[in-house]
Amino acid sequence: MNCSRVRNTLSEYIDGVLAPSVQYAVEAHLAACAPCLAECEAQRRMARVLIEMPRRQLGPEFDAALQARLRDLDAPPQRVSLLDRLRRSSARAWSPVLAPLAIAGLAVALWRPMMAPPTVTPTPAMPSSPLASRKYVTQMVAAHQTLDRLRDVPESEAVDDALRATSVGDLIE
Amino acid sequence: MSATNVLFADRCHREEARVFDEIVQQHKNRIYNYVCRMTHDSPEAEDITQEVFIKAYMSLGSFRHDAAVDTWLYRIATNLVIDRFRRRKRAVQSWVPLDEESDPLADLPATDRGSNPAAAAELTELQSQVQRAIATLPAKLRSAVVLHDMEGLSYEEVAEAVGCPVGTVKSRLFNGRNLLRRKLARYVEPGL
Repeated sequence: MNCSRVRNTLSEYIDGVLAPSVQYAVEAHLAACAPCLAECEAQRRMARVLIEMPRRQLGPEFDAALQARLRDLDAPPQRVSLLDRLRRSSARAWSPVLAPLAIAGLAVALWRPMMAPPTVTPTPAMPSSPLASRKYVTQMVAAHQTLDRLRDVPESEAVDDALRATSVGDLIE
Repeated sequence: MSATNVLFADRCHREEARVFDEIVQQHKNRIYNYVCRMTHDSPEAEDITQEVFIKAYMSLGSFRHDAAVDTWLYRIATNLVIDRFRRRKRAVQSWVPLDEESDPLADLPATDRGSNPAAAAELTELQSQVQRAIATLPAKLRSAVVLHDMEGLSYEEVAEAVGCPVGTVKSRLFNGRNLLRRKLARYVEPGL
């Protein structure tokens, strides 16, 4: 084993992880090569210095601060209304795209029945008879009730429902 | 939820909190020391250590039970520290590189160090130089040297903690030690 190879294995030799045959070869070389032995000693000294470096201790205030932060994590999530959620989400980077789309989707879903011919759109449709009128009003009331109910649902569920909904019919269901 | 379920959930939660508190008490100083070494005793070290345990608490459910808790925590710490380096780059830039002119022991005869009455002060200074030399290492080499040579982790544990193969750990250790060895030559060479 030559000097270059020994220098490349000194790190692992000092850690004692070399295969026995390689370790014996390194030891044989070190016994006959003063410069490599000196290098090995230098690395051993450095290893000792590193392991003897003073260690720091955290003070009791660390535990108190950590406990306070963990308690905050455990606090129940605040219930946020759908309107507030949409308002807050408008500050997010993606919201300029998604929030208006969601609102536009709801608006279209609400208005489409009134604009479409009664024969094409089964429900909800513009009332064409007393019976249809009653059905239409019932659906609109149900839609508003659903929207009211969503305000009491935890924010993530409410927004998910609203974003999933493609029509008022979806919200009612 | 029935009253029994509420009580059971509450008990589980309290038990989880107790176990987690034990983890904190067992490992907080080791993690803190690691973060200190990695950030050159940055004032942020304590804050980063807190972050480590917050993240650990939040991801308790995803903890692989075949992994050791300490390597898991070291891994979280490593990711947090490197993330801070990337975001700010302030820590690395503020670290003063070790150079000949800044060495306070440069004028002291090397042979006098062992018997000098001020040996304790010199040792403190040497340790300061070592810490500064460590701070100049690239982050990946530094984490390998600190975890293995200062925290006492095995190659395999370091590999788990930094998320790389054992062979890479060996290579990083080799390069990191050689860099340190050159920076600290005057303190570690035989006959000094």
